[in-house]
Amino acid sequence: MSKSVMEIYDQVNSVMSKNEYVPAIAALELISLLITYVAGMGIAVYKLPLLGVPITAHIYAAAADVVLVIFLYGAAARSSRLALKVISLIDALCIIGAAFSGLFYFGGFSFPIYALGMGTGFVLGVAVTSFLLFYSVRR
Amino acid sequence: MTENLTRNKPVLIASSVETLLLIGAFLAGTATLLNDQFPLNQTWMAALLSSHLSLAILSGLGAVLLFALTYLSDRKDLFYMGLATVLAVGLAAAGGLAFYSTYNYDFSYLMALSFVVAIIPSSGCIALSI
Repeated sequence: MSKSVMEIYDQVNSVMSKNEYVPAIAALELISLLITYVAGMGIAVYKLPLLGVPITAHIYAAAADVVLVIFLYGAAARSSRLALKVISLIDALCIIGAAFSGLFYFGGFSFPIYALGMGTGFVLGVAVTSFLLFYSVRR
Repeated sequence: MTENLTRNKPVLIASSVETLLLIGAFLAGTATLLNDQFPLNQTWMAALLSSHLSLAILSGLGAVLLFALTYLSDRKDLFYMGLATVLAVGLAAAGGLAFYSTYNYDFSYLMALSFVVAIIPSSGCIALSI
């Protein structure tokens, strides 16, 4: 059975627009986090210098992470579920903590503890964001 | 998508434990990556690597347990999530073991990338079973 493009669009739209568009924003946030991670972990593993494509991709994706997590909190705060509001606030704190840790590291405090702070914020953020994605799709 | 909204307690517990173990393994592994120099010659470096190995082995066992419980739950969404978790954790473990025997950093990168593929469905299992 084949579906028309319009039917697929309607189906995706009805899933992604639940709970004030939390699933759509969480999916975008997850993609952006993955780009940040692929670029950042490439720099850490291969000990790349902080210039060129990897660091640019990392910084732009990190900026997109912070913007999207604020959108995510805004959407979740408009929804009617308390769990979404609380968990998206935790998500925002994790991502913004990771972003500030990365800014300190790039700004000259080049100690491993700040890179580990980036990693901690990232891993808590990605766990919480995927929780929000699946939870808001299901309810 | 919303076929079943009931709580599944075994899967909820197993996926929570698995997510925490994966987070711990990631933090220990990142600390190892940032601080250790191979081959190891300091005790604290060995302690970091050992904590990473212990948490990684525990998360491998947890992934198998989670997969078995999602299979027994008779729910398709949970089953696919558990399957994705156990496959990605297996790939990460294979990457880690290959890295430790060859010191080729491509395998370290493979371990990092399959870790992040593993934690998404593991956290999804919590959301779908809570």
